[in-house]
Amino acid sequence: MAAVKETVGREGSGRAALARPALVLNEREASWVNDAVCSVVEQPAPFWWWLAVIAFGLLAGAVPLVVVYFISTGLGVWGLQSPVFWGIAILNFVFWIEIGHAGTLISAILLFTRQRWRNSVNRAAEAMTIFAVLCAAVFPLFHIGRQWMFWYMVPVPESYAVWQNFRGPLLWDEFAVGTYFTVSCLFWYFGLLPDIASLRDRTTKLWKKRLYHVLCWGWTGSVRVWHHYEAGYLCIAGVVSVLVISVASVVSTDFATTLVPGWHTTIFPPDFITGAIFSGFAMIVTLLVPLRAAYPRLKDMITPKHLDNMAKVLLATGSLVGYSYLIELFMAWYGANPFERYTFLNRITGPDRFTYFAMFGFNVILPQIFWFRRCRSHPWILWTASVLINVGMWFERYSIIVVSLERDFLPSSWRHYLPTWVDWGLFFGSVGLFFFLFLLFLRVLPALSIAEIKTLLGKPERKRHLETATKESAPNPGEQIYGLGAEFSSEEELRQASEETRKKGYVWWDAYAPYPIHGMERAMQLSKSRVSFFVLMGGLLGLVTGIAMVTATSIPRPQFLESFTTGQLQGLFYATVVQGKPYFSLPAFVPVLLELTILFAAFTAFLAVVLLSRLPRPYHPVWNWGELARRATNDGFFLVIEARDPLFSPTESRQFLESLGGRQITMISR
Amino acid sequence: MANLFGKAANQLPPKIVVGILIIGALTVAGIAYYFTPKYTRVGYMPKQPIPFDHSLHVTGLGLDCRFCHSFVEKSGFSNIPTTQTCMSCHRMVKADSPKLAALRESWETGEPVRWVRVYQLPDYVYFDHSAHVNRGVSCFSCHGEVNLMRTVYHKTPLSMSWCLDCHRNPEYFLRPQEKVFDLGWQAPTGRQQIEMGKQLIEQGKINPSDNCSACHR
Repeated sequence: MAAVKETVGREGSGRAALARPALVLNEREASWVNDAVCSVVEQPAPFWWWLAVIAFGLLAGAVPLVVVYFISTGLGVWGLQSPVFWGIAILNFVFWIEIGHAGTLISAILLFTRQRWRNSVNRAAEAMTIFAVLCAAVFPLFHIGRQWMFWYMVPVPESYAVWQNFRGPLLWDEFAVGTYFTVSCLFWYFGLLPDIASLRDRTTKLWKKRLYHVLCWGWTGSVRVWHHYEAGYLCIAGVVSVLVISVASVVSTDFATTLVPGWHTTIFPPDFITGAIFSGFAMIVTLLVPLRAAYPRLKDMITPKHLDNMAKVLLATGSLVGYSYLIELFMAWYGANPFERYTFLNRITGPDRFTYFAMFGFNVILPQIFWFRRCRSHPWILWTASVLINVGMWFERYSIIVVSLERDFLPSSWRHYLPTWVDWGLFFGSVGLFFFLFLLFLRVLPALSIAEIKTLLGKPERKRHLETATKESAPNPGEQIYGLGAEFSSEEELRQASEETRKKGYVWWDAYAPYPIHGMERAMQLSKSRVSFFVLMGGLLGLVTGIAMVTATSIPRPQFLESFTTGQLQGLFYATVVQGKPYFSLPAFVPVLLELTILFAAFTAFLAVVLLSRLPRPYHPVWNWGELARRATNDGFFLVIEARDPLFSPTESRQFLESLGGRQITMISR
Repeated sequence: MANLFGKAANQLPPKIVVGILIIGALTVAGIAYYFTPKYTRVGYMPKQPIPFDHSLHVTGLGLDCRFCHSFVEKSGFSNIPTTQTCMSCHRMVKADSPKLAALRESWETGEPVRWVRVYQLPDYVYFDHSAHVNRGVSCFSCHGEVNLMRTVYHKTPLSMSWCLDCHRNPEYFLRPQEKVFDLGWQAPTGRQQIEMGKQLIEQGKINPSDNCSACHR
């Protein structure tokens, strides 16, 4: 090691040359992030917003109209005719559900792979996921014909004593989509907690403050809470990341487990997953580019680097999708199954051949423009391509679902599928609903993750210059003291102060920061958060519940329960042979078990964080200190020593905090 | 900013949780009790055009079920007796009773008596009386102690799980063939019934289906 003595300066080193581009441009400060993001919500809606929301709202109005029409007349008004019984409705379901996947990928998988750029776009992407899944859920809900019987799909004990077929892909679908929607909402809301607190501390209206306060479960910004919060966020991200893979796979098994030529292939799960990520990223770009244009301040946070990255993802997944198109063709030829061969021939040369070419052109050839930097970095080229990719993905579903069904085994039953205005009304209505919900979201909640973006700021921008003058604030006589608070000018100072405070022997104290600070756990010597343990237990509970459910409802009644004659316990056991599978067919149960494990684990993570941080706390003495209440979610770093600490004394503790560099030292009343 | 809520508000969250749990438990219990056929169907006792008293005719006079419901052993549908069946006695017995005015009117006009149906299965359920009563399923198992009823009422829920209880475990309910129409018969209890039931299943080769298509044809 002695050889490496000479070192170059930091600027000249290779490290600087390889330094990644900044993810927040123009050296913005923490408070600027709050201003920029919250102003979207706080300032009066611009004209274009009203215009867009009315337009999309009217379009979304088609959904209830069409739904009332076809429920009152019957599903015959859809264009479904033998042999095409899965038409536009299922197509749209697949289209929307897959769009949702990119949001989950960004928020969960990119978190693990330490793609820091995700911090700026994950909130909008998660919101997009939720709205897309909501739009998707409309279709299976309505295509069952007798919508009021929907609860038959839900495993509740009832007087029919018939259980759902847990071995069937359509039930897997219900579990997968249900879990996906619930857990996505939970993850999104969980990420929103600190940002809702930011909105709370900024608004001036009391009712709004109170509403936000309730919504963010009384967020204080305490480092001890951040400690659990970060662990919980990772845990939920961990279980959610499984959903990225499982949901698209399960949706694909709806098709792959049937015998229809063109559907019955093992490539479907990976094909659907890549397609999902592909179309989802296209939709994120479709939303984010206009958002940047409408709110130019956001351009410093959603930078050309972000667009560039997303274009690269589009290029990669687009090429993967192209690969699976080609493999499908190859397998059709190589498999030598005449029906399979004909299906693909029909896709390319049949009456609907334009759907195949639209799919291939928009999904495979068009993304190849992203090999060029100019196309990646130019927002509107990127945007146009993304919109076309979404169109292409819609045609891919058409080509897979409708074109395969139109001509299957029996030529005498072939029929061309023609969607009716009801089908189109529902589709365009869902498009309207999607954008309508997203526009509402922009005006109600922070569209970018404030706390997470602050962790992307450069070190100098995270510092604040504070006046050293401490104003003497003696508490009113007779008022009880909660503790002594001090403000610090940077996270570095706060970390050091925390370390000193701990070393001094204080026990009852806490630090408050607007974002999680790395190294604070060590400085405060916090033990590992127990959240992960609870998540494991919750996941296992879900697994065991799932196993108990699928087993009891699928196997014959065991001998030892013979003494029970009537009632629901009997009704539990209804062994039926379906699809020639054994009573207990573990592989077919895996999807349901997986989804239940994830569902339980995610909810436990949320509850564990909230309860371990003692969060639903409407009143906390630290908010009696106005400075902390105003800025703990913005750009302030605070340390509060409580009066109940055995070492606490008003004068000595004050001197101690001053010696650490604390400013604005204040007595906080209880 | 001062605090948004008072100190007392910190007591609120646990109370809200308890409240939600109580409301949730009550909702589940309420649905489980009120939304099943055990509540919605059992106890249905419509007013009939003629206040026919089963206890008087069966227990008092000793009529067999089949005296009036004469096709129950032969037909899938157990018939309501015709006016003629009633009049075979009531032309002589209580011929002038004001309670039987509707019966006499029917006799004169030829219009059947408009009895109100008590037990009604949905159209999508196939049920055959003869198949059951000829295999040791007593009237009692579904209709209850009709021999003691002054006015007939809906005794059992007729829900699908209730049907399946017997279809899966007939040994709990079967009785000897000669006791099927003997509503006053006391079935043996516990293991005795199960052993007898198993014997009857053996003898009669009784094999109730619990396949969907057994009833939903």
